[in-house]
Amino acid sequence: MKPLSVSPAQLRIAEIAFWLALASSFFLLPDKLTLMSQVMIFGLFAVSLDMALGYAGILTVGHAAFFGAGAYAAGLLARYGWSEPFTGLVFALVVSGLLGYVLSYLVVRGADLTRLMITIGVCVLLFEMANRLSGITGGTDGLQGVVIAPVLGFFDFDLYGKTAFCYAFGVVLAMFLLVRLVLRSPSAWRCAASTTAASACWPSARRWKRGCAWPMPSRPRWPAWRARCWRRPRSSSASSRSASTARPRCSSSSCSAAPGACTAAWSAPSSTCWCTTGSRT
Amino acid sequence: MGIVIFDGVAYGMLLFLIGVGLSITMGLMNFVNLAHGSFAMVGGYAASVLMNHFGLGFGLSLAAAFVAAAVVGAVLELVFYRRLYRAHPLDQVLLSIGVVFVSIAAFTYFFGPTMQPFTLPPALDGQVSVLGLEVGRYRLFLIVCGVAVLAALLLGLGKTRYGAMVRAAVDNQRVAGGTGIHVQRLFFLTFSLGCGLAGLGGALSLGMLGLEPSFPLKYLVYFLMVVCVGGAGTVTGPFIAALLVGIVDVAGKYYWPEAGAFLIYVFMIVMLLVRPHGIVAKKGVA
Repeated sequence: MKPLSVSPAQLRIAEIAFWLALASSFFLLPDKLTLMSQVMIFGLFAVSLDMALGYAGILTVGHAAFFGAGAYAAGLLARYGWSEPFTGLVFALVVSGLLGYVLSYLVVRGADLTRLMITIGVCVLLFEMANRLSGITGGTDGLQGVVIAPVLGFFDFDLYGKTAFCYAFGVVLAMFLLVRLVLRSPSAWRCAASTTAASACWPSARRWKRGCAWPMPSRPRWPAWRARCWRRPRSSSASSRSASTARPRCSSSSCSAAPGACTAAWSAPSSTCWCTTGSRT
Repeated sequence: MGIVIFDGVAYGMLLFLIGVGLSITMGLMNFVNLAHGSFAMVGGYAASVLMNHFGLGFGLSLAAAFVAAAVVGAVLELVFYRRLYRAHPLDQVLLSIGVVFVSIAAFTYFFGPTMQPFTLPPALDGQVSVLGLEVGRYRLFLIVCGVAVLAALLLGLGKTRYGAMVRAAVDNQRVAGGTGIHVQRLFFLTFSLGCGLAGLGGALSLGMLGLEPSFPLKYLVYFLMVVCVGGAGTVTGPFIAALLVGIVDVAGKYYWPEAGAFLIYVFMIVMLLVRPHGIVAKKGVA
């Protein structure tokens, strides 16, 4: 497939136009706000799946497990007393991230087909578990009695979904920008390259599963990811991990192939910088 | 105990019949074909219609099921599958899952959502005593069929010229092509053969699992499990895996009904962790 060729300036304009169009639905479609919030939630879910499938190359069909895990985490937290929405998001993020981390030891192995099957199996097991533990999860009736407190203490979740829409828009936009920032960092290029090159190249970098939360998917767990991607530097500079706050030193000739990647905030030192043209196919 | 193992083996034979075609297509073409159950369903419906509406005998219906599924498989290979042999696995998965949904909708439209009626032929009805066990004749027939197909495939792949070509192509497509084997045509023939076997299995499942339009989705995971646990591209691997899966599933549902439904998934995950490339991992060994 031929990739779209747009210049960075065009891309920026298109992005701004896209988000403005999305925001304008608040005024243009005032009676479809609940639907639009769901559209955005699933949009972020698609972005997260793209990270696992497109960037990390993990052929997964069980990604919705993390969606569900985050939903149950936030929902249960709200049900048992703590209904502040943003902490619910963070909690869901942590739970799904931990689940993804644990499952990564099962998933990231073998061939594509094996991985596909293991993700199916894990998904079915989690489904059965949620089904059986009806004392906690409500079983097939669903989780009852979840009340989320007003956002920031002021904006109650109303019947028309106005608050939900604004909340969803804000969180999704923030997460999108964060994910984009992370994916443009050199370590992400390295992960993408490891899928196009030999699969054994950076096996640890593939543990990129991230979770999603309901009502909003949450951010990727990048601190852990950063450590993982750097665990096996190609060079002897073992101190590189502590240099995370240092500005990038990637301007050397060894990294001319991916200059854009190396100007991101969390760049690897030049000796470990992954220099590739970074074609994602 | 004995009867549980026997039922598990019979169930496993059915899974083997359907799964072995999938194993060969996956091993030969590296094509993740999720629509394999749809070909089984085509065979099953062909047999069912022929028996119920045209009064054909059971044996002839089985043969017709094989042919019908093989023809449908051949057509789909020519039209769709051929274009995606070199594509990303995700594209293959999307195409084949699309075929699954289209087939489910089409069969619901034409035949209704209910289970197909099926009456066992008198010769296969009832019980028979084997080694002190009262076993169903139809299940015994399934086991005989499975062993016969296994023997035929092993002989065909091991001894014939066509089998040698298939093994060569599974081992290394490019070299096989270089020696003058028409790999594309080989793919086509093998895919049709695999679909035909699936159709045969689908027709046989009429008396064991029952056939309804949701069949391909309901048993999809089982077919894939047989292939993955056994090792794609082999014949004996899926055979062993199918027996294990059948026995574990039946025994799990029999002795431990609360957990039986997902015991099989635990089994699969453990097997895949122990042997990520399948029980018989070596490609091209028939």
